[in-house]
Amino acid sequence: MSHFVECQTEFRDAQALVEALVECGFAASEIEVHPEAVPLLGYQGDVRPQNAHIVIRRRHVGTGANDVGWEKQPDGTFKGWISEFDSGVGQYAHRGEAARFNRARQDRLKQEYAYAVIARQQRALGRSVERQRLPGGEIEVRVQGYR
Amino acid sequence: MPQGKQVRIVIGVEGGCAIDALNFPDASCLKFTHEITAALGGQIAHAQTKPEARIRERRTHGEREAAR
Repeated sequence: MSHFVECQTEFRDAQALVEALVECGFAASEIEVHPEAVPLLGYQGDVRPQNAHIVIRRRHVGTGANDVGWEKQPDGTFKGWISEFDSGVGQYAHRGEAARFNRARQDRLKQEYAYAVIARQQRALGRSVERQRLPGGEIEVRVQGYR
Repeated sequence: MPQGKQVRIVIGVEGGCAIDALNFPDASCLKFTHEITAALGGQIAHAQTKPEARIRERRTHGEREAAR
């Protein structure tokens, strides 16, 4: 018997989110994890109304960037606070690749998060996890060791 | 062709996952796909069991004799 499921991915695990950010090129030392949400700062050092538990300060994001962060919500998910400038949308759509958190990079972050959360869960259950990148950009994961 | 019980997951470029539990002789595959979807936390867009892929379960000597 086999079973096939398609599902979406939501950020719910802080440790896996940090691992995914590291896979996406940030040093672990550049990622702040706070038990209580802290304010995010704008590119001029101004305090923004948004708060976050996981924060990358603007100096690590790029020139002219704002702080980027993820805030834990009452339902357990992490909501991302990424400015239009840093995501390259709206009036900053022309930034394209220069935007450190453009759509493609946010998708990559979600992809790496999914891998991190699966790999950690399955290895904790004593199973082996293998990963390979497919030509289309997908990540194929094979889990074995089921008893 | 993959050998033995395993779960193959393809994580799409947008972060969605296709999870395929393969070569399980029984309904335990439902449990294993569920544990992964629970970890991913998102909505299930589609689910399908494939009983046609059912592997013949091992029978005891007594069962084989009784079936003769």
